[in-house]
Amino acid sequence: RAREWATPTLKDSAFLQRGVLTPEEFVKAGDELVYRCPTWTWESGDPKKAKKYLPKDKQFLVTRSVPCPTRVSTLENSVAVGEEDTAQIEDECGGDDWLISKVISPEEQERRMDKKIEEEFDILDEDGETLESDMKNLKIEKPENESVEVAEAEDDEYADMEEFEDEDVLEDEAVVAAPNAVSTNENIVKVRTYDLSITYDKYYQTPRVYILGYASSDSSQPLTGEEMFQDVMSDYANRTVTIDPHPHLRGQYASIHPCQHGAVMKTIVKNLTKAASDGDESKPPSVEMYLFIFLKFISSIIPTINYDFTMDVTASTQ
Amino acid sequence: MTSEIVKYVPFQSTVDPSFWMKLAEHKLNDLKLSEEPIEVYATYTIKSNIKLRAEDASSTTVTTSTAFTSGRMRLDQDSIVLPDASREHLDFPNNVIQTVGKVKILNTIESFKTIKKNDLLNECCLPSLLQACGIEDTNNDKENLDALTSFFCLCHLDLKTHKNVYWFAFPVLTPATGKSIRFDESIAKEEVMTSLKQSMSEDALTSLHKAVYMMRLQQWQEQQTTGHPPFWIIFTNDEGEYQCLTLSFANYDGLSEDEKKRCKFAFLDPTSTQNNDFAIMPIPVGWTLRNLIAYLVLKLGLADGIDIISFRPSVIRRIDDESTFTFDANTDDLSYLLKIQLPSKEDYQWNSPSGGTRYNTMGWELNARNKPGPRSVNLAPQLEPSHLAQQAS
Repeated sequence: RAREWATPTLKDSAFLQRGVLTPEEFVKAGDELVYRCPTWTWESGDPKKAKKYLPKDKQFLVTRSVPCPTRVSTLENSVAVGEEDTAQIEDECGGDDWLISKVISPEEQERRMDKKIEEEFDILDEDGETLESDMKNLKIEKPENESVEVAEAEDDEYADMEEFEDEDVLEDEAVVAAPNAVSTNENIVKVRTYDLSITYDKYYQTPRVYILGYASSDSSQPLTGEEMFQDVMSDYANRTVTIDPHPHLRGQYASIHPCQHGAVMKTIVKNLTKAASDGDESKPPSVEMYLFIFLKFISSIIPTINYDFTMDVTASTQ
Repeated sequence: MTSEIVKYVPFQSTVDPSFWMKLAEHKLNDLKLSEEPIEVYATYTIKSNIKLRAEDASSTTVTTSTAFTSGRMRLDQDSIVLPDASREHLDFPNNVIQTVGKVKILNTIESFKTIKKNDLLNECCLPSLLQACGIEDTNNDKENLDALTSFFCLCHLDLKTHKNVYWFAFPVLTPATGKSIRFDESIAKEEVMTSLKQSMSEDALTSLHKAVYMMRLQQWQEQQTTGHPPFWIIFTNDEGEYQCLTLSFANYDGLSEDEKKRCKFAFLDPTSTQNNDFAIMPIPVGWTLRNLIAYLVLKLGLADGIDIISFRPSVIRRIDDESTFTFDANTDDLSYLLKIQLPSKEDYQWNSPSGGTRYNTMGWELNARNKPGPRSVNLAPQLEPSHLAQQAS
């Protein structure tokens, strides 16, 4: 916090050079996001915590109740049965119509994950090497199957509540059951939801994402830090993603640390600009595009949280 | 043959953890042992029609399988205004509806179980509802319709374990049992509920949306109130253009007899639908219609068949200096026109167990098991020192 206080507010645009934003550019980019994706809105938060360099009513961006249907671990495991793998296995086995559940080593899994992220972004630094190489030193954590445990805990919670139910309460025939209420049917999957907010980090001069998860769309029960980490790619959980207090709201949120945001954004922007000069139809990205590109990048860290940033962003060039 | 009854989708309470944290502080510092209900604020709005990311289309079937979803009454840290805080910062964005309700914090969990829920709701919410509907001390100059979109929350806060038990109600004034509000029986069954796209020309639909926009713009410019109006009156001027006025006795009274005859009433319907091509009509509509109908009958003295618009824009944008009116008749409207048979004033009278008649409210939210019962929330993950220390390491 002291660092943030001591850092002068960025005055001149350095979007194309360093992938960073001035507060004015953050507001501009935020306005564009809100306009194109109305699920996002500006919020003012606690007036005591308001940042002077941002307008009073445009302190941060929020989108709420975003569905998160699956855990990241299922996605990470599914890398092993990606399409090219199936084809490869089929070749190896003479095209027979059966699949081997191929056991892949953590190293292999990690390699494929890196490759997947690479393909999605082609994040290249000056020497043409992937920035992801830093990540290679990180150990991949074995995805734990905690969902069973979680489900049990929730059932207990409802069992607790059962004794509080009151059959004397007046009900009437004109009411339909809330369609999003969790049925007593065990088979119905509870879909976690997330509230996402994007703040402006004055020290790193980039947007910063804070997320808070809920046990189901019907519940106001916040998830624990550990539960939220199940929705973060394991490469990032507990490292670039930490549990922190929200700068404008009460409560503990999972936050994606912005130390690499500028570098990554710069690289993506550079590649987009290069594509433009190579004679593609598209122009170099404008500041208004920043949050769309940024959210696409963020979605590689939290791929199962299904937030809205629908706009054509092509960030892959050679 | 009697027509079908109108069905409603109840609100769903959505409470941000920040609300509970601030409420617990308020309880400790200011309220102490008092169980008097305190005034709090909430908001509701429509859910923008989201187009989810294409690559995840397969995994979203779980959430989109239901044809419609409840409106959410949302509370957060801004819901509570502490005694020392100035109220000036309470400017809710004008694309949401601001509501005022009450929270009653019980000191013991036992009293939560034993307290008579029906009586409690009548005691806490009926007077303001009846006042809004002009039954008790009618003062038309200072009409306050907040009670028509109100809420009530009964809760117990365990300040040691941070486990809270709470039960929301969205109180509505209802006609007596067996007198449920029905669609207009003089209208063919297929026509009691139609999408506006079907029943209006594209020009008329655009004109209607423009009128709603102008109403909001005017309200914003005058700074009388913030927030989107929950109810309004729609009528046509001499040029055949739509005009909208927020719902109030004075605004209705100011219409000419001819305008009164042809006017419609609209409410912002927080129930969201993916599209409006339903095979089976009528479909359930938003909860707030129930109190709107009570108001039309009891306060405005209306009777017989009436046109009500369940207004469902696909998006509500904030209004500010730079906003302009944009509307695409093909995609931006999911509204319905309802032909409703208004009940009589007497229908709102319930037989009292002690003889005579009385008014009655209901609206306790069902819990996650779809039973009348409270919900619980455990805030330990957000608050427990040991947990935080672990996270910090």
